[in-house]
Amino acid sequence: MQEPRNYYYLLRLVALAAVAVLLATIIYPLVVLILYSLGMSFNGISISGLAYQQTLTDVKTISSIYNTFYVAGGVSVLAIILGGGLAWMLTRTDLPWKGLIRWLVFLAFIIPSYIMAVSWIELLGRNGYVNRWLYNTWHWLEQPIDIYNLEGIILVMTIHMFPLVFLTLCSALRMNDMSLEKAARLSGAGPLKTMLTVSLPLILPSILSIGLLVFQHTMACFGVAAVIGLPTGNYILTTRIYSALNQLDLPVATASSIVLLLCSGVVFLAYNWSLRKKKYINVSSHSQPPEVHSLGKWRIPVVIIVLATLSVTTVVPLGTIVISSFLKQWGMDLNMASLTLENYRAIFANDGLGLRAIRNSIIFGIAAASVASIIGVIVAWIANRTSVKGRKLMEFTATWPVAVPGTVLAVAAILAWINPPLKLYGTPWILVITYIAACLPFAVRSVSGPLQGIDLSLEHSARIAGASPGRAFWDISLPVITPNIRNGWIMSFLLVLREIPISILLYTTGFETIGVLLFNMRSDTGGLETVSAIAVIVIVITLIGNLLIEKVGKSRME
Amino acid sequence: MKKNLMVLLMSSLLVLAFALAGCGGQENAEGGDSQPEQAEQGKANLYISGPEPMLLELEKGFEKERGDVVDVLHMGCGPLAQKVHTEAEAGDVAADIIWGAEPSLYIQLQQEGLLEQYTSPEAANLKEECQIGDGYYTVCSSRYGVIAYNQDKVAKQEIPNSWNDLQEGYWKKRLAMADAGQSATALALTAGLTTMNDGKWDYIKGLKANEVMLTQQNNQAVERVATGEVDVAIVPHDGVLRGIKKDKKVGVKSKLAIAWPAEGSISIQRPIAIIADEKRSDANLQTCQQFIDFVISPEAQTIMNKYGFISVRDDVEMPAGVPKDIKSINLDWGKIAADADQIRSNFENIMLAK
Repeated sequence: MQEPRNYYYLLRLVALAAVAVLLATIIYPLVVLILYSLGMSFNGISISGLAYQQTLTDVKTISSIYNTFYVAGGVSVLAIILGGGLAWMLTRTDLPWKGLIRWLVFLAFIIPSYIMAVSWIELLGRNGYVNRWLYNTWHWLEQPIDIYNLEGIILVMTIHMFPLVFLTLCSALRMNDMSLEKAARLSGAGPLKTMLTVSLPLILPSILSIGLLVFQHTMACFGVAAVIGLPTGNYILTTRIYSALNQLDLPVATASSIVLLLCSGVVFLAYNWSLRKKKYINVSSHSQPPEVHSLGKWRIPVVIIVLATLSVTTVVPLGTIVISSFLKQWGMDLNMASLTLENYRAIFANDGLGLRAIRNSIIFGIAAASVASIIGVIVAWIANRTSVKGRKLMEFTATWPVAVPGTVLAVAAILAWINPPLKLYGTPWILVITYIAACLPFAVRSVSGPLQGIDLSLEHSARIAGASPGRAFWDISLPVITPNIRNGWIMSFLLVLREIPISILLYTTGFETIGVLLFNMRSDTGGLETVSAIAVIVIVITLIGNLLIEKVGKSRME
Repeated sequence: MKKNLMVLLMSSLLVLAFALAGCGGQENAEGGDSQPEQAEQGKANLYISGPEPMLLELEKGFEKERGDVVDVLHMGCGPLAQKVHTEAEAGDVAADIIWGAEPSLYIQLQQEGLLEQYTSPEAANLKEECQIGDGYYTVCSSRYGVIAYNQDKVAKQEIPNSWNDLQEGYWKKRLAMADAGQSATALALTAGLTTMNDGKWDYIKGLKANEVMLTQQNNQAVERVATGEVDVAIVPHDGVLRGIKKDKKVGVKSKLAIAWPAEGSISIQRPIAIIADEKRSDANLQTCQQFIDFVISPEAQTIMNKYGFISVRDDVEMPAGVPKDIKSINLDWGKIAADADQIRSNFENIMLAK
């Protein structure tokens, strides 16, 4: 039996390569970060918990941890309800205009969170349209609505994150085993009861997996919290971390990050515990295409509600960005005299810096997203398809970067890669490595949940027919999770395109990125019009990229 | 069999990771030896914060006669401090020159032995209040902490002409400033505002009573005024001037304007310094020194003037939009550097109180 043996070697080689990438991008910087937070300076070795003591005895930190959990929990629950509900309606009912709805959600997906926050302030802020309208029309007291609180962060982050949940659950629901739902229906259960008792439990791994990602990502988010929570002194843990970094108190900043990471780890344990010993089989040998429920007379009211919701979450912020990018001044009345191309011209006027930044970001984005996607599939495969000891730990390790702010990732990268012989600092490679680390959690989480829903017996049949485990995975499970891999790829690509702190701290001359451009242009004049113009460019690039991926996917299918 | 192999693989790699981390540490203890590469290239690394077009113009001006001798990395004041400090912690500062932020950062770096003393021949021509730093750093421009306001929303008779005006209930929910915990510039402004009140924190408490809106960066506070979310903000003047200039360029009336407080504007100086490095080549050291000479020369000062920065020289005029007879409040940077933790902590405690 020559062939299977070769296959095993190949498999090991693949696993080895994946582990090597994990080691360089994820494990090594994490180890450096942990050692550093324990007071192991580079001048001498001494272990101390001083930084942790300082962190955990600070009342401000404790209350910020509470705020962090409150926000992350709220966002996860709401994003799952909103994204999941919408996904169910799109895959299981005869809702009209599904194509349009899918497009609107995808557009919401690619709007940068900072812009999202700013356009919500435009709507609900102290000088926002709603408050002005309430005051002028109804003579309500001044500023009846206040967005600057933890609930405001939850609102904006939910709208920012629900598309991710939607995209993941759509593909999960599409591969649900229909025979189970049919059995429920035949036994007399209505569509709603079928959904709650059959469909929903079946996609639980996907829900929890994406919910976990949303939770961790929200915990580590900083931009929205800084725009909406900070104004009224609502600190979350990342605000504290940034504050420590700003005071050049690296030990406390890293210790706080590790605390954040541990909080994240607790949630991860809860996730694994809730899924233990249960089997969630979605795709099995006798799967049938989904049955579509008729909404009957509710069809039109429901679609109106959905479109109204989406116009608030997508159309308004998107409209704000696109229009503002052509305005001479943020918030001007729209007429011919107020339009200009100056914002775009300014981006490309800096000695070719603008074009170079866009080109670099696209190259880094494609490279990081592709590597992360491949490694992500391998990690998810090892975690869900093998019995290797520590496979869950490996999965958690691969997703830790999502749990800390980008600035901390950049600091860890500097500490890890500044000294020979491992000197990558000052070269573009450190950017690529850190981007891969930042992307990996999305790549792993997008496929890990869905993978658990595919019946192992399918792969077993392939094994019996003579295929190796890798081959069985390649031919059976991989095609099923391809849409999820694509989601993860796009999410990663977007992440690199919009990323600021890693870019600012790690870039070198000639390797500027969109993030560097954005940061520098903003600190120059502080104009939101320019920020909008860059956001529009990012959105256009993403739309083109998505179109290309769809084209390639289709031609390969044919 | 396969299972065992994977366990072995994972654990050995982890061991390797630890070993590598240890290696990194040792390298550092020896001081690192990465500098010679840069010396061979003969290019000096500059970490700079400031408006991009201004920095490009300055770089061109400097390299006009010398050729391509510097590599410039642009970043904000926050990232600049974080990057340099992290590099220092790792034992190898890659920068040759740093420029931006406030003197307190430089005082801290000087105390850690990271700055190289250099007194430029041009230094004697600087204004008296700018001759600080003992050559460890050279002040090359100033910004003024002022009150920015939105012209559409603040009537002429209501313009706050004094810092104390902002204490009045009239401005409740109408003012913004950057968080002293998030921005070093805001920390300096806070120090200035408390010093004016004999070191008492009543002024900051008054801002809190008026529900001051905090932002992460100073430019965001300016943004808030421009969008009308607040009516006034305590910010450095230069960003406001550039915002006004940009509006003028596209031909619209700017909503932004500056009120120069009667008590004086808080002077926030921007230093430049050379990072200490024994292994630096002579050619590179010369480039660094020439760069500092250049930055405080009339030529460079005139360029910076266009972008709203206050010159450190008497023979360069005030930027357009800044009153000639401006009263300036100078800060004790040594004290701010020493008390930074306390200032931040006081500020946060006041702002976090419910």
